[in-house]
Order: sequence, then C-alpha cells, then structure tokens
Amino acid sequence: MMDAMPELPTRIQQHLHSLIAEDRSPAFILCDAAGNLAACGGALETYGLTQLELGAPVDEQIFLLTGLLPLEKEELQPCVHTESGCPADLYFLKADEGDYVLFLDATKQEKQQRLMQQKGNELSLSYQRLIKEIQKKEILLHCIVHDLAGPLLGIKGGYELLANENISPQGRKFLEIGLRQADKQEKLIKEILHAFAAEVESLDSFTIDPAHAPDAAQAIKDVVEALQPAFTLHHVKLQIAPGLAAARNWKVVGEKSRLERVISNLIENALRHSPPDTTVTVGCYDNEHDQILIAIDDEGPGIPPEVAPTLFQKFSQGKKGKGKVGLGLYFCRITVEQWGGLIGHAARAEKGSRFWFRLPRPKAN
Amino acid sequence: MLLQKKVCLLGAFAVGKTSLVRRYVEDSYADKYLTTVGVQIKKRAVTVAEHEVNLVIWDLAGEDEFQKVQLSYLRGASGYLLVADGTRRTTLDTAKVLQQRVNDTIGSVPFALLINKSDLQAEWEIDEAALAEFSAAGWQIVKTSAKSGDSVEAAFQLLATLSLTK
Repeated sequence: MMDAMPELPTRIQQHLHSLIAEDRSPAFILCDAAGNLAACGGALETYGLTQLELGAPVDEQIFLLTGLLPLEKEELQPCVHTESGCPADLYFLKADEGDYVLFLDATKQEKQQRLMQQKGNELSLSYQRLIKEIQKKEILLHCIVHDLAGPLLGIKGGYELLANENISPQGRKFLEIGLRQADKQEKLIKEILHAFAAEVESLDSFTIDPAHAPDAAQAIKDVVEALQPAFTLHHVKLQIAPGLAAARNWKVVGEKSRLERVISNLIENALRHSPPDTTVTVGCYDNEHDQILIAIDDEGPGIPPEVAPTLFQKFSQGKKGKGKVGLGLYFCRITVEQWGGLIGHAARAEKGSRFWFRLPRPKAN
Repeated sequence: MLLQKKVCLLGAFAVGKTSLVRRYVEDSYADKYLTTVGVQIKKRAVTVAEHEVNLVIWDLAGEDEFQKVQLSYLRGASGYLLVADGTRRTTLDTAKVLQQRVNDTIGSVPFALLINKSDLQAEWEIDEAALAEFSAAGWQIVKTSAKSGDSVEAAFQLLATLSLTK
C-alpha cells in the first residue's frame, strides 16, 4: 500500500477535509486512465482495502468497483457494504490525473435507516398477511352460505308439491307460513351472497366505456316499476322526481344489474323505514365534477345518531333491526366505491332522510 | 485472466433477494427477514462455456413504500435478476415496473425473472396465466426457492451465461 500522498487537487483536498471533520473515516483510491491503481490513502483498512498494489488493475483488487471505472460522470453511491462489512458512501469524482473514489463510513446512517425500514417493512408484511387471511375466511364463509342455499330449494319444492295435495285449511295455513319463511331465508342467503360476491369478484366487472355504460335514469325507472307493488301493499307512495323524463345523458360508470341492485337496496331500505301514507322520491341530478347524483328521499323518522356512523358497514342494522342481516347498505357502499363513486346519507330539512350516491360519468377516452 | 462480471438483484422488499445470494454464495439460509439497506456485494466464481467467470453480485435494497431502488447501483452491470415473491402478486407488478425503469436507465442488458419461494407453492398468487405475458415477451423465468435451494444454481448460471453475451 502506498503511504506517500500525492499532491491532491484543491477540490479533492477540501472534500477530504470535510469528511475528516465529520469523523467518518475517509479513504480514497485514484484510478488512472488505464484502470490501474495510481494512488490511495486514508482509513483504507476500515473498508477491507488492504494489500493494494499500485499500478495493478483496480477492479482486480477491489471487486466492488467492477464495471464502475472509468467514470462517465461524477456520482454518489450510498451505503455500499464493503469487504470489511462496513457500509460506506462512495463518492466518484473526476480529476485530470484520473478518477477518485472516496470512501465515507456510513455505519450510523445505515443503522438508523435499517431500524426504520425494518419496522416499516415488517408492518407492511403483517398487514398483507392479515388481508389475505380475511379474504380466505370470507371466501370460506361464502362457500358455507352457498351450501346452505342448496337444501332450501328442496324444502321449497316439497312445500309447493304439498300445496297441490288435498290438505285441510289449517294445514294450508301452516304450509303458507312455511313457504313464507323459506322465501325469507332464500332472500337472506341471496343478500349475503351478493355482498360477498361483490367483495370477492374481480373489481374489473364494470365498464367506463360510454357505449356500454348503464343509464342511471333507465335503471331508476326499471327498479321503481318493479317495486311499485310492494309500496302499494304498504300504503307508501313511490315516485320519480321531476326532470328524469327529459332526454338527457344519464350514463354512469358501473354495471347495469349491480346498479339496479344498489338502487333497489336503497329504495327497499326507504320503504322499511317509511310509515304508511308517506312518499319516497327517487331522483337523478347533475353533480359537480362531472358526476351524477342519485338520491332516495323518504319521510320516515330519520336515522338515529348512534346508528349513523356504522350504517354502511358489514352486518350493520338499524335500531329496530329492520335491515334484515345488515348487508344491503354494505353491498351498496362497496359497489359504489369500486366504481369510483361515493355514497352517504343526510337528514332532510322537511322530514326523513336522503340516501344518495354519486358516480362518475363515463369518458370517451 | 479471470473474467469479472457485475450482476445485480432487484425487486420488491422481502422477496428473498438476500436469501438467494446467501444460498448461492454460502449455501446457507436464515428464516428471519432482515431488510437490506443500500447494497451488499458478494462474489462467486462460476464456469460458463469453459470460461472461469467471477460473478460480482450486487444485492440491492428492495423497493418499498419508503424508497425506490437506486438505479445508479446498476452502472456497469452485465446482467440482472428481477426477483418476485410467488406468494405476493404485487411483487410481480413491481418487477415489471423495475424492468422498464432499468431499461430506460442503462439500456438493454440481459436479465431473468425469478419467482421465488417455490417451497410455498400452495400459497402462490402467481399462476402460469400471470406469467404467460412475460414468457410471451421473451423473458426468461425461473421458479426458485432460497429456502430449499431449488433452482438457485440454475438461475445464477443462466444469468452468468446471459451476461457473457453482453
């Protein structure tokens, strides 16, 4: 190893002085144009740079410099673990006599960064594992619920066949109770499956293409028509807000059947909380940011404050448990959010609640 | 004269880059995850088509939420291995993005894609369909396990062979 220091250019000297002042064990090597070691000095042993031979190729002696010299431009390579194991910041500097590589001990910086990075990465891995576990359990639950639906078909079929038999009026009454309960259970299972399906299935199952995007106004008309009998039965009026009839473009990002399902869930929810002789109004409005707002207004008692924060969460129910298993609104939220929209509710100044969601308009590109 | 070739390993964090290097150079494995800060450098001699080659292996810190891979480390590299974790689908996306960034930075350099953790194949999120896109683009793909050592030698041998063509 060479002990006699060459006359260093001022810039290199200044740099070395600053490194010495920082107490970070600076060392340097100088590589000539032929790639041979022209000079070296400083705390070389800190970086395992011992038994260096002047005039011999640099990359044969210092393997971590393989492919790095001659320099194209000056640069810093931070935290390179050298042969001794000591991490070093490597400064590559050009000079008339060749390329300098300065070694600067980065042990402290490495330690600090390692602590932070290790913690962050471990947390990130734990989070990913947790999400995976939850998904697995949800799929399992989905399968169980799906399997529960199988025997129900048989039960319903049995009841329907029994209804054709000659049975007493009392027997027929019991039969109708059984059928109603079976229908109710079937609806519950469908609701659960819909919620899980939305979560498990690919997020790509919707369109942003204007040519195939669903028409929100048409979806409202179809759903309102389908739900009219149920409203009539409960003596609640269901109406479409004025303005929907106008020939306008009400296309939104989404998928037709799920959009109808969201609207249907929200209208059914309004019906469950509407006293007789009140009105539910469904409307479609232009919203800022090139979005369309769909709103369902009821004249019910409003949402109790203690229920409001969890209304759109899984298995959330209203105060009186009128929401069946509490998946309908959850389904609405995850579906609307998947499509880049937002869902919410608000108290109406007049009376009752407004449930709303907004969806982006599809764009041509 | 012994040929010396610099090669790099890069990929998302915790995909097993350091474990692959350790398996290849020291034939050992540690289960505990220890993040790499900066770059660690190892070397191993290998024979390729009757040439003795000293592979200088740069094991780069993984790409994570806090830091991007420092591409200046790749300067002078004759080839690189992109590493993904078969049990984490997103690491394949990271590998794809990194390949593009490397290509934009240092140009076309031989590389291969390693899908690591083949010992956990039952938990894999990366299937043949996901890899088809890469195979179709001409990427060399090797399924490895740093834990069992499966295909680790073959992967580095492939890279050494590819790097000699540069």
